[in-house]
Amino acid sequence: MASSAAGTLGSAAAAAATAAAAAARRRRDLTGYAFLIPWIIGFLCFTLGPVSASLYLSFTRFDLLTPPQWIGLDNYVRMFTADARFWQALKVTFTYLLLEVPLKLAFALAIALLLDKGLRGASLYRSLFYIPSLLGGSVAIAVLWRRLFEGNGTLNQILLALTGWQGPAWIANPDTAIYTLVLLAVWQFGSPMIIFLAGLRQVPQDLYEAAAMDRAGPVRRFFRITLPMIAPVVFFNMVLQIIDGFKVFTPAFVISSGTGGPVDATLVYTLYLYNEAFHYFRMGYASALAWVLLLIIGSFTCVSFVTSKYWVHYDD
Amino acid sequence: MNHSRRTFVSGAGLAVVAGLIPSLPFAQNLRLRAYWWGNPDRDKRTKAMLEAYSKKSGTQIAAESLGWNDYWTKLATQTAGGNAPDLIQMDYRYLFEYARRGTLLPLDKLLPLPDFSPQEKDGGKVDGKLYGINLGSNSKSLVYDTAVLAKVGVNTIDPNWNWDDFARIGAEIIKINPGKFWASGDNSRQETGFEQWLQAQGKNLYTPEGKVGFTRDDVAAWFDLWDKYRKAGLIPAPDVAASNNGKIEENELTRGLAAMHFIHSNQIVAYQALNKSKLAIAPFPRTKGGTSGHYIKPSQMMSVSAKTKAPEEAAKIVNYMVTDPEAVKILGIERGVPCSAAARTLLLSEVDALGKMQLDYVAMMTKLAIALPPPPPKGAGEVENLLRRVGDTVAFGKLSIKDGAQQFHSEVESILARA
Repeated sequence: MASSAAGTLGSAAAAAATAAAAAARRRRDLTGYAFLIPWIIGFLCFTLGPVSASLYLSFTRFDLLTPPQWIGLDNYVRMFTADARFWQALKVTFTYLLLEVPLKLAFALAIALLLDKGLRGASLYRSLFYIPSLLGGSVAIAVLWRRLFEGNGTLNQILLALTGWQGPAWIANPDTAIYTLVLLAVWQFGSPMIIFLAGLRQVPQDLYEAAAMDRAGPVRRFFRITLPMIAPVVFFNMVLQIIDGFKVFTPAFVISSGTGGPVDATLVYTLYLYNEAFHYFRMGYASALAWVLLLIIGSFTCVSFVTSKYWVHYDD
Repeated sequence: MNHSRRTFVSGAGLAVVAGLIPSLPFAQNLRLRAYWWGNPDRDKRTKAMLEAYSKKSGTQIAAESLGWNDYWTKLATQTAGGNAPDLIQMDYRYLFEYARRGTLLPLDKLLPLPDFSPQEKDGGKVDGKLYGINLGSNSKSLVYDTAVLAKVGVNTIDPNWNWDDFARIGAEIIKINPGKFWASGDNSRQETGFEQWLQAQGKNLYTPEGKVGFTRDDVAAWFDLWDKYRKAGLIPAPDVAASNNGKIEENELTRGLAAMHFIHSNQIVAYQALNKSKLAIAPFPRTKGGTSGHYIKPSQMMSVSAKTKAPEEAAKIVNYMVTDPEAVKILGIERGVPCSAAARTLLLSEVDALGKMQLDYVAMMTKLAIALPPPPPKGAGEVENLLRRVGDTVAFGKLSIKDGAQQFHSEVESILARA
């Protein structure tokens, strides 16, 4: 009885304590939310609002000046059955992605491995290599790229001086234009490199010591220890790069003066979307394009996650 | 803690309110926005003109200018947002779209402009009402480097010259620096060139009903003409042409790669500003047995937003722009030849050689000119980029002339059907 009373008392006290703790937690949470309010309002008004509006607009014809007209699935039907430029934009974007993502990751990893070897002045190099990532998305760099790869641009002048061979106008030639964009993207290897470096630092050194004792060479050590150990980092970088790659816009816009030319060779998906929306004022169609892009990026990310269990190992 | 936080928040709130107060009196001042597309020279002149007006009237005018492509993007988004500028520089191509959607103010009553000839007002009329005030007339023209043409023995170009003459002179020009310097830029990809060539044969890009006014064979013949010039080495390889997306600094003439190019006559001012050697203008070459094909176009117009808070004041600014001697002198002839006869007389004594050249050119073309073509239908803006794309595809040999012509024609049809 006494013990049960004590128990009741105890549990009441415990309940009171829990209630007090819960109240404190609520208060704390509320404070947290209060601080989040500006961001939440921003998200609701400037992200969620426009995104849902664009879903509605994707089923309409809307030229900005007259109210939208409901046309059902017409925009989507047109896209998949009657729009050659939609497929061209997809082709350009996928070509870009297939080249850019693996090359950039390989390059970033290679540089990260070099820097991880404890090079003298590694931190200086690290900063230097990171600079392109900071500059990369800017208009100034895209303009610089144009100057480099023009018909009489810097690259061709160097080629002419060294080999006497007059190179093509890399940017104005439909067969080569896309590679200049890929190169520009690969050049911005800084941010995946930093992430790789962090990953490499976490690989336990005793694994390498053990491997060295077993006389495993550097190549074997890389493929058997380093790569599996940093697989989660590779995966993380890959997903980010794929999403970023789908969203590429500025360099293609600047290099082609917004046209996607020559002959639609640099017509990346977002550029096509932009032109449909803001040059030809087909807001409805452009919204439909945006939703298809969202689904494509979403499904690519899903596939990456699903397949990741076969090659990404998490230690803990 | 709570107390101090509240104090802080209310203090911050007060600071925000206090920050707003000084701006309130400004809201009562009349402040209009003017918006145009242009080039550095035009921007400088227009801003000086607006400042001169502000000084006189006390009306504040916020000025903003952009390049041609970005201009229409921003104008459309601002108009859609109910935030259109009060004064809008307008082009013949877009006048109908904007006027018919009720976004522009009819100006018949506000701006009688007795000094303008009826034709000069007609270019700015939609369905019988005046929506655009002509800021200056121009006509298409061939711009050329006088030094280079003198070198091959051509001192003046006969206004009745034809494409054979063009090829003959071109063949001499390319001997100067073979493989590095060409007769002209590639015009096969320029909509204005194609339009001119059609009009010289009595055809048009669009019918008055807003349908396609040319046939597949017309397109093929046009591509064929330039293909011959390309094969003869008169015009540069496609990868040079493809670097030209319509900006003056991208033009083959400006880049020192060609002796001639095809422009609008008022652009001579902007081209000369970027070119060292002396430039001059002449009519386009004719098709044998054809007419000049030139028409006198309102180079730019000024429109007033239907939503402006001060219609009278906006109209006054437009009136100042086209008739006041002070404004006419500042603006000069950069937007084309003014419509007001008084302004023209005034400029005659004011203009430099370049202005005189333009005045003479437009006067000459007025005699040779054909009627203003039907207004471009909705969607016509896209055709300009389409021709560039298909023209390049043909030039790079990725499509035959026949297939290219077919593609261009059917895509124009579908653009018009969709608009």
